[in-house]
This record gives sequence, C-alpha cells and structure tokens, in this order.
Amino acid sequence: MKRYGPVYVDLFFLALFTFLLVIGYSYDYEARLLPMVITIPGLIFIATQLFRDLMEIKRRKTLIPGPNGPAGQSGDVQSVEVDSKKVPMANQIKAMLWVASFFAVVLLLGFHISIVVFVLVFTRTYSRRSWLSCFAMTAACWTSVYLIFNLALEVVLFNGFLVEYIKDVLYY
Amino acid sequence: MFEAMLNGLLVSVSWPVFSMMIVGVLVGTVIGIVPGLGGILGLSLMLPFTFGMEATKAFALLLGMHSVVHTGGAIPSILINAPGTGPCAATCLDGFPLAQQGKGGRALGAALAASGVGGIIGALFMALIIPVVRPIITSFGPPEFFMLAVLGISLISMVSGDSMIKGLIIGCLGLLMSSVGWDPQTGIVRYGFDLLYLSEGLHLVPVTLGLFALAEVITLIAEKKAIAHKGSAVGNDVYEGVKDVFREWWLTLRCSLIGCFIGVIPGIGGEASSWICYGHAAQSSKNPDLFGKGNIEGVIAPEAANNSKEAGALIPTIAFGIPGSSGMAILLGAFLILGLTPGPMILVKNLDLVWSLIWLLAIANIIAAAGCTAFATPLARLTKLDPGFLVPFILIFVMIGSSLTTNSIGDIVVTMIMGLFGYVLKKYKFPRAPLLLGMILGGMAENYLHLSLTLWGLKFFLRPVTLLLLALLVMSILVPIFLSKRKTKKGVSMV
Repeated sequence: MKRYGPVYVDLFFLALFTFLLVIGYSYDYEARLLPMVITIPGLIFIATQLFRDLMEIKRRKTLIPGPNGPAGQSGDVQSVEVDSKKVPMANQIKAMLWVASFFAVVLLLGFHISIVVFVLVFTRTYSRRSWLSCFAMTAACWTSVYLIFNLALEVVLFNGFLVEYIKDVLYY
Repeated sequence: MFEAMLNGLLVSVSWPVFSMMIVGVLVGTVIGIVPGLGGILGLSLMLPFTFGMEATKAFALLLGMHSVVHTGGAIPSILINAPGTGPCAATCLDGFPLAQQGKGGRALGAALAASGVGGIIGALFMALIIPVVRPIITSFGPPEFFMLAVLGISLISMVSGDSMIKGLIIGCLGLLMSSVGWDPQTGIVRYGFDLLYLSEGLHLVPVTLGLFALAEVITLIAEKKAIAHKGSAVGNDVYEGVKDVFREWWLTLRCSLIGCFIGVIPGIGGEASSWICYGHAAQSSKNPDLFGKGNIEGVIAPEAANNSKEAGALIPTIAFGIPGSSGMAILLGAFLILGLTPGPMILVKNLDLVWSLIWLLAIANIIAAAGCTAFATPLARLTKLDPGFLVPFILIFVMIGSSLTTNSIGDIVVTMIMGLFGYVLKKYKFPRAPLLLGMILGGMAENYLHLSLTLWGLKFFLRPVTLLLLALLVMSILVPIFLSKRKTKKGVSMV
C-alpha cells in the first residue's frame, strides 16, 4: 500500500475527473464550458503525475537491496516520499474512525448529547485520563459550547435525527 | 475638512462611543477565534442591539466588531490550522508550519501586528481616497472583474509548494468545485446529483474547515504528539514577530494597499484579497522556496490584506451605497435603520460621522492587535498541549462552526468528507491551498466571462483597465520565471 499509495491517489483523481468530464459533457454548451476547459487539462496533469509516480516506483524496484538493508531510499521525487513521520497505518485508521464516530453521533444525537458522549469516551480511552479529569473535560467542553453558542450567540444547534424522531413521536 | 476630522476623533474617543467600540472589539475577536463563525454572523447578531442607538455609538459597536474579526481569526489559523474566518485560510499555509516549528509566538506576533498595521493603512487609505473614488469604481465592469479573477487563478502555481503538477491538479479540482450548483447563465444545476444542498453550490467555510482543521485533527490523533515539535521553545518570540512586520515594511504596505484596492471594488470578495496577497508575497519574495514551510512573509501578507480590505469595502458602502462585501451589505442596512442614507451626500451632510468611522476603524485595529498580542505568549503555548486535551475542543468547534454556515446537515457532511480528503492530500503531499483559490475565483471568472462576452464580445479585452490587468497577468507569470532563471545562472557562474 505504501509503495503504491501515490498511484492509487492518482488513479482516484483520474476516475474522478473522468466522471466529472462525462457528466459535464451532457450539459448545454454554455454550462459545460468551464467543466470542459478544466477537466481536460486536469486529466493531462493527472496522467503526467501518474507517469512520474510509476517511473519512480520502477526506479526503486530496480535498486536491489544489498546485504546491509534496502537500497534506494533517496526519495528525491517528492510524490513517493509519503509518510515521512512514519505514523502506523493502524493509528491513521483509528484517527479517522474517531472523527467519523463523532460525525455519526452528531447526526444521530445532535451536538449537545454527542459532545458529552464523545468527549467522555475520547478522553477516557484515547487519552487514558482519570474519570475525574474526563468528567471535568466533558463539562468544560459542553459549558463552553453552551455559553458561546446558546447563551451568547443564541444559535440553535443541530438536534440529531434520532432526537428529532423521538420528539416527533412524543409530540404527535 | 480638518474640523470634521478633529470632531470625528473627539467623538470616537468620547467615553460612550469608545466603550461601545471596546465591546465590539471584544465580541469581534471572540467571533474570529471560533472557527467558522465570521464577521457576517457577528454583524447579524449585533444589529438588533443598535436599534434606537445614536449613530456613532451604533457604528462603534458594529464596525469595532467587524473590522477586527480577522485579527482574532489569525489565532486558530496559526495555532491549530483551523481558519477562524474564510480569508484567514491563507494564513494557515505558513502560520501553522511556524507553530509546528515552535515559532507560534513569532507567527502570532507578526499576524497581529500586520493586522493592526493593515487596519491603520486601510483607514488612512479610506481618508485619502474617498474624494476621488468614483472613477476607480466606475472603471471596473465585468471584463475587469474577469481579468482580476484570472490574475488570482494564475497564482495557483505560487501556492503549489514543491510540486507544480500536484498544485495544478488540485487547482483544477477547486475550479470544478466552484461550478457546483445553479449555473446563472443557463439556469441548470451542475454536479448537483439531485441533492438540494448541492444545488446552492459548495460553501467555502465547511470546505476550508474540513480541508485544513479536520485534516489536522486526524493528524493529531494519529501522531499522538503536540502541535509544536519536541524541544522547541514556544511563545517567547512574539515581539520578534511584531518586529518582522516592520522589517518587512514594504511588503506590509504593498499588501495593505492591495487589500484596500480589492475591498474598494464591489463583487470580488474578501477571500480573494488574502490569497492574491499571499501569491504576490510568494512571487516577490527573495525566498519563494520557503513559502508553505513557515515563511513569516506568508503570514504578514494575507493578514495585512485581511484587515485593510475592510476599510476598502467601507468606501463604496458609504460613498455610493454599494456594499463592498456581504458584511458591508449588513452595515448598509444599519445605515438605513439609523436613518442615514449612504451616498455622495453623506460626505457633505455627515462628514463628521464619516471621519468618526475612519478613526474608529484605526483605533479598533490598534486595540485588537495590542490586546491579542498581550495574550499571544500564553496562546502560543497551546501548541505544546497534549492532543488528548486539544482534539475534543477543535473537533467540536470546527463541526459546530461549519454547521452554522447554512444551518444544514449538508455542511457537516461536506466538512467530514473534506476532512478525510484533506488528510489524504496532506499524507501524499498534495498542496491544499490551490483548491480554495480555485473555488473562490472559479465561479467569479466564469460568471464575469459570460457577462463580458454577452455585453462586449471578444472586444472586452481591448478595454484600458482590462489591458492593464492583462499586462499585470503576463508580468506576474514572466517575472518570477525570469528571476529564477537569473538566480540559476548566478548559481552556475558562482560554481
């Protein structure tokens, strides 16, 4: 995955731009002018980048590992020089899942409840803090949101689909 | 004139007006610090409080708030890579790398001082230009707006960092994203996929917050490290940053004036000024290679432009009743609510009030910059905090901030998607700034091109200001190439 990562990203862009080109082509002349003018050069740029990345992989493959470890770690081509900080893939996926889970809880339960749930779970499992500091952190987050958005700005925050559904059921 | 100027100053520093301005500055700074809120929301919230208020006091509150929003917005842009306001996104590019290097204090000092100086230059510009602004505004029509947008788009190469091709790919994607939604020429929805949210087009705030702030949150959780690298001293060099602004006085002055000029022309929008100034700074810098990696010039340029453009935008609002930006449209409403009719006559009948506004702009910027600078050192230390403490706050404020853009769930979905996309771009070293530049200027370029072609045909290129802008465009492309070739030649001859 690491070696071919940039190629996969280029292929994703290639597929995306082709998709946008095909859809854009179906519009009227005036409406498709910008999509056409942008996607065609865009596809050329992506093809060039893909070629560069493939050539770099080929160049690296030709460098046979020596007895003292793998050779060819020069990384003179920027694109293949991924993940310089070497964060394990598992950590990256976990991080994305944390963010995605907050997003899912917000959709379901709205901001007020999800802040309490997320901050408590996050500080307890990710940061491994004591229960006391977890509760303090949760209270701090919730209070600051309440003070800024509800009291000072008088903004109505999203309630969440589940909460709205329950409200509807209870009222009608 | 001199009497009106003096009267304006005396009114501005009188206690009732001054205290209102302080309240406005405080609210504006806080609104700026919270990612995604922005000055328009602040103005909308403050407007009801001004009913029945004396005009100068009301404007002290509104203008005090609106003129310093970007000063506060620089703080999260630098410290956590979450732009406090839309135009502050350009500050992230070099501000955040500086914070990672432990130079968050210096970056904050530079940003706040540049904001203050930009605001003062903006007020001065306003005072000088009001009598002669009419021909400037009337000389700008759709062809000139189109050329300005193209000039801005040409800067994609300057914000692409090390890989020009990657920058161009992302720039193209940004331009395509600007075409999402209703096409004003044909009335059809492009790339809407039968979703109501997309028919209105993609909004900049959720895209920006996802692309920069959420991607940074993912990085923080994955790396389990504080923002500032280990061993780096943090926050002790705030005044070094302030000095940088005066060391780079020519850049500060140039970018402030560009910001004012862009602000004066209605229809370009605030976001464009900071990006154009960032690109200009990269083009004219002695160290263009350092841009995007923590060059202090990349912090000074957009921040100076952000605050000065507010003064510029106030000029057509007052002098002609044409709002220079969406924030100014609300301010125009305030004028009408308070029984004042903006237009040329206001300069005759209410000159004292106009001078008060100019003074208020300058004083509010000084107070905001000085106040924030006083807190810059402890704020910069936030970058040393454990991600376990920082992440929940950033994540919550980013999500809420983006959800308030249109009060639609679509904003949160876009932020989430752009966050994941931004992380992938970051991981594979694709520059993210060209996407925003393309998104901001793409729609503008397309609309004005269609309008120009309809009104003038291809002859629109022959208008004097268009030709001037075309010459600027050619120069902006050729001069850096010429300079880099000369630099390479010099390097070769040295060897």
